[in-house]
Amino acid sequence: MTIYLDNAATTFPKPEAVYRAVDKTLRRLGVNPGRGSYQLVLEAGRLVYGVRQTIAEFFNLNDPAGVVFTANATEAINLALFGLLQPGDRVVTTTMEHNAVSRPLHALATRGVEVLKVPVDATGRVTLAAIQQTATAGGVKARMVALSHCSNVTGTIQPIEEIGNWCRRQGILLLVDAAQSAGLLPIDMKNMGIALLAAPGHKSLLGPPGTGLLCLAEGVLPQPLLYGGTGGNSLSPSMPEELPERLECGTLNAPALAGLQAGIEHIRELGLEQVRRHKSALLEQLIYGLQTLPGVRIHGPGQARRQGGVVSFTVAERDPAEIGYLLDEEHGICVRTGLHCAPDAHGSIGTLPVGTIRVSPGLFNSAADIDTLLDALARMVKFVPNLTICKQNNEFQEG
Amino acid sequence: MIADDERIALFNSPTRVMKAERLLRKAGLPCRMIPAPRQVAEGCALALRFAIDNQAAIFSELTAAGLTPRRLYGKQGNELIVLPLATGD
Repeated sequence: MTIYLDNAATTFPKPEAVYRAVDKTLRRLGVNPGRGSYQLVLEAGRLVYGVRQTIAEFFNLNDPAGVVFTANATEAINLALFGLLQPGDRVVTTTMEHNAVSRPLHALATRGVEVLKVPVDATGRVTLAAIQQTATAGGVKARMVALSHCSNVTGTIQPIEEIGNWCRRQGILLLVDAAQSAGLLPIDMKNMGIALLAAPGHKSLLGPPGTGLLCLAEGVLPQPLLYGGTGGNSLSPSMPEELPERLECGTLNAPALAGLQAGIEHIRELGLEQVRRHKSALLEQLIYGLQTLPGVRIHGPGQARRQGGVVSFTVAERDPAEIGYLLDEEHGICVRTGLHCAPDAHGSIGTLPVGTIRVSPGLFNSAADIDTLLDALARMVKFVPNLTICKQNNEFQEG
Repeated sequence: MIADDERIALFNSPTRVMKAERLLRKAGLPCRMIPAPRQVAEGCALALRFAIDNQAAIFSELTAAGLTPRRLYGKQGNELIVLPLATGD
C-alpha cells in the first residue's frame, strides 16, 4: 500500500465531498458560467459566485468580487507582481522564497524593478526589523513587500501579521504567498494587513488541481496579465474595470471550483484548529523519531508548533534522492527530495546543491504512516550500505 | 421579456448582478436575472428584473450593500426608458 507524504506538493487524496462536487458539476452543470444567460448558465454562475463568497469569508475579505480565480498560486503571484510593479518601483522579498515568487521578480528586475532580498536566520525566519530597514533604505519607500507565509522547504512561519500591519501603516502593499498556509494556518486579510493573498486551491484547501486564487483588498487593482473574453461588455476593445472580470478571461473551471468549495467546507466543518492539531501531532511524532536516528539533521524550526505542514531533513553522507528512491521503491512511501523549486531557501539554510528530504503529512495520514516511515528510515540509516558512495568509490578506483 | 409592471436594473459587472440577486433572494425579494435587452446594453450583459411594487424595498437593500445599479429602466409602450435611480417609483 502506498503512503503519500507529499501533501505540500498537492493534497491527496481529497475528501469524498470534493470528488462528488466535481463529478456532479461536470455532469449536471457542465456549461460555461458567465457566457450566455439561459438558466443552466445562470446556475453555474451562481455556483461560481458562491465559491467566491466562501473564499472571501474564509480569508475575511469584504467583497467576494475581490476573489480572482487563477489556474494555480503561481499564476496568482505573477498576476500580482506583473500587474502592480513598474520600472523604478522597489519590492522587498526574502531569501526563503519559492521560484513562484523569485522567478517573476528576477524577470521584473531585468525590466527596471528594484528587487531587494532580506536574509533570514538559521531557521529560515525573517524579522520585521529587517523588512523595515530594507523597505525604507536610502529614504526610498518600497511599493511592495512580497513573501511566503510558510516555507515550502522548512515549514518556517513568517511573522505576517507584524509585517502586514507595518506595511499598511506605511502604505506599502503586502503580497503573501499562502501556498503552504491557506487551509492550514489562520489567515485574516484585514487583521493581518494583507493587500494581496495568493493561494493554490489544490493544497491545504483540498480542492482539485487547476484551481488557484488571488484575493485583493479593497482598492487594490492590478493590471491584467491576460486579455480576452469576459462574457460581458463585448463591444469594448479593453478589459473591464470591474473585478473580478478585469483579471479573469476565458472559461472558468466550474467543476474544479465546485470541488474547491467542497474542500473549504470540509475544513470549516472540521475546524482549522483541528486540522492544524492533526498535522502538528504527526510532525511532532516525525521530528521526535528523526532526532533518534543517527546522522539525521532537521532543517528549520524543528518544533511542530513553530512550523507549517512540512519537515525537511538530511542524512549525513547520503544523497536525499537516494533516500527518496529507496523509500518509494522498497516501502511505497512518497516523499519529495531535492530543491523543491526553492533554491534560494536551500541557499539560506545551507542545503545547496543537493537539497533535502521533505515530508508533508496530510489530513488523511495517520500516526501509523509516520511509524512506517520512521521504521523504513531507521533500517536505511543503520543497515543499508551507502550505494551512492560505494559506486562513486568504485568509479574512482577504476578511473 | 419585460412586462409593463416590471423594471430592469443594469450593474457594472456580471459578478455584481450575481451578488445583487443573492442578496435580494436572501431578503425574500423576488427578482430574476435575464439577458439585458439590446436597447439598454452594448454587448453582452445581464440585467436584474423585478416588479415595480418591490422597487423601493429592492433599492433599499441594494444601496445598503453598496450595490446601487448602474441604470434602471421601465417600459413605456414598446420602449424601454431610463428612469432615475430613486428608491421609489
